[in-house]
Amino acid sequence: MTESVLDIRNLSVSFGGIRAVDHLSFTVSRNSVTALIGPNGAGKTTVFNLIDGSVRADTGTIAIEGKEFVRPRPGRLRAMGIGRSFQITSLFSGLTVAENLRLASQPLEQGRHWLTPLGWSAKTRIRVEELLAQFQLCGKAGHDVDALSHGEQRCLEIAVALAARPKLLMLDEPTQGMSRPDRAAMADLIQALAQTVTIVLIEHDLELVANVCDHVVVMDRGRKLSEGSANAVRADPQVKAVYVGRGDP
Amino acid sequence: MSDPITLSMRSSHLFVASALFAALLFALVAWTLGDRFYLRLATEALLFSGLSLSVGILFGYTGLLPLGQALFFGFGAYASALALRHNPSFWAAIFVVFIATLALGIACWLIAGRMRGVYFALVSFGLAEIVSKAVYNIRWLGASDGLRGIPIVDIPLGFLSISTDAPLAFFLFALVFVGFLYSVSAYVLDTPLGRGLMAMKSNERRMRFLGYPVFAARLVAYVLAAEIAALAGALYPMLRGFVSPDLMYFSVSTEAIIGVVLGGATMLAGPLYGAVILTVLRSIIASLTQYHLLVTGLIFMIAVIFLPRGIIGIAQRSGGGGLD
Repeated sequence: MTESVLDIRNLSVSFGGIRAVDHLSFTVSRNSVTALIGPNGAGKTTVFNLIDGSVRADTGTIAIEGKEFVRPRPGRLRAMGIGRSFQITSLFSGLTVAENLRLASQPLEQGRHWLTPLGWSAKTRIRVEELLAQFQLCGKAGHDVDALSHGEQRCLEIAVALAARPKLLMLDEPTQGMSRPDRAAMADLIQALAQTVTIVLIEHDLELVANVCDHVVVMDRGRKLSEGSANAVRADPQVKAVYVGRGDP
Repeated sequence: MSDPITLSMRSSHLFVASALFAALLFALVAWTLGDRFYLRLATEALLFSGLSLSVGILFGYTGLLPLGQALFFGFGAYASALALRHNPSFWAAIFVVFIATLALGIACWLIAGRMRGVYFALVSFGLAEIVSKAVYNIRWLGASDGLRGIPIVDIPLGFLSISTDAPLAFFLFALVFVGFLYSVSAYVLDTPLGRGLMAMKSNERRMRFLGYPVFAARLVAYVLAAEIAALAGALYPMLRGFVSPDLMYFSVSTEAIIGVVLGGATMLAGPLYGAVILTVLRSIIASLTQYHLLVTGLIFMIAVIFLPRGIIGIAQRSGGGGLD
């Protein structure tokens, strides 16, 4: 039996009269890439917000490596081993690429050297250099993040989420707004990352999902519509109906 | 790795070193001419630059605009005055101010710390108003008259002793004292904590997700700013021989903010320059017209419209960068 990193059971939340997530259950296995897909308004980002504690669930449980959390707090995410990137790029504007990564890597330090002069921490510096190389941002280390291209900002967004070596990486539309070549590069990057970290991603690019994901959960109106391999869900008539329409008059 | 922020901090140190050199030159000229008035005025300007520095830390590094930072300046002045009246020892007074401000700073942060933007500004304004009005009505604090008769004390420095009544020596001491406050601030803001504060200013939510204790980090910045304002204020009764509730008034807080805007919030040295220039200008203009506040307002408007990065920003155009 494959060991699960994330186990979601019977998760529900309503906003006013709208059921955003409706009795959702799924499991994410270690070192797999799982996609949450579905049309706009299906409740995918709400699921991420429930996992990271931004939104409180009405019912259901979330377990990370078997440990249940009633409501994880955003401040505890890193300690729980979760890294998250955002649909709208969420970097530290006005700071350099290296500084963004240094800030994100600093929690790796034992005792958090808050008041030691900058640059003394070898562990952080090494991690920043690793990330710059891994995400091909070495030449941009000293650049202000606002001066990066959209594709580079999306890469940095993931690098920031990955910096503190999470066990579970949640990527919210990592290819959002990217050109086709950039999307292909991102797919390669996600596949490379999957060697060392478990990934859950929300994505609209079904080609990328088919190429990189081991497991796909399809959502519609807050409910789980289908689940399985990319090929299996593509063949599901219910999924086809949601994506291309039922053909009803 | 020298990034723009490190370079900006180095530029700031150069500006402070230049100001220090100019101040020593001024002291030499004043000593040669036997002046007392301008030395006293310059000392007062230095003390108010400490208040502006504290506003600059909060505004420039955390994005919090305090409309009542004079609370801490006035509190430091009162605590120092009371301590000196009880025991005329300089270092004992400084110790009392430090400890009392630590407690007050934490208490104020517990009230204002969860506010952001205009709400923080209004709460900080409200706190200063409450305390100043309370002081205004408490008889044993001198009420509206304030506390008078603060004794002249000697400042023992090991190898020499300085009298607070000696204008030149006290000016030089105030220069070193404010320089020390600047150095402590610069050190703290150039550590991972300082960078963390800047990142929180830019994207607080992401910092929470990365596991940073946002509330605690901002508490440290707030208490640091409170201590700097209070310690600068602690020298005020030694200079003037009295303290009064108007040291905590809104007008003092706004002058500190104008000092930050005039000098430039993009660099730590900016508030020091702004406050010194503003204090000297205010004194000169007040001797010429009773409408000096109108002139101060005009200076503020000119700075906002034509000098968005302050006086420091003019020099920065040809030099290093700064915070945005």
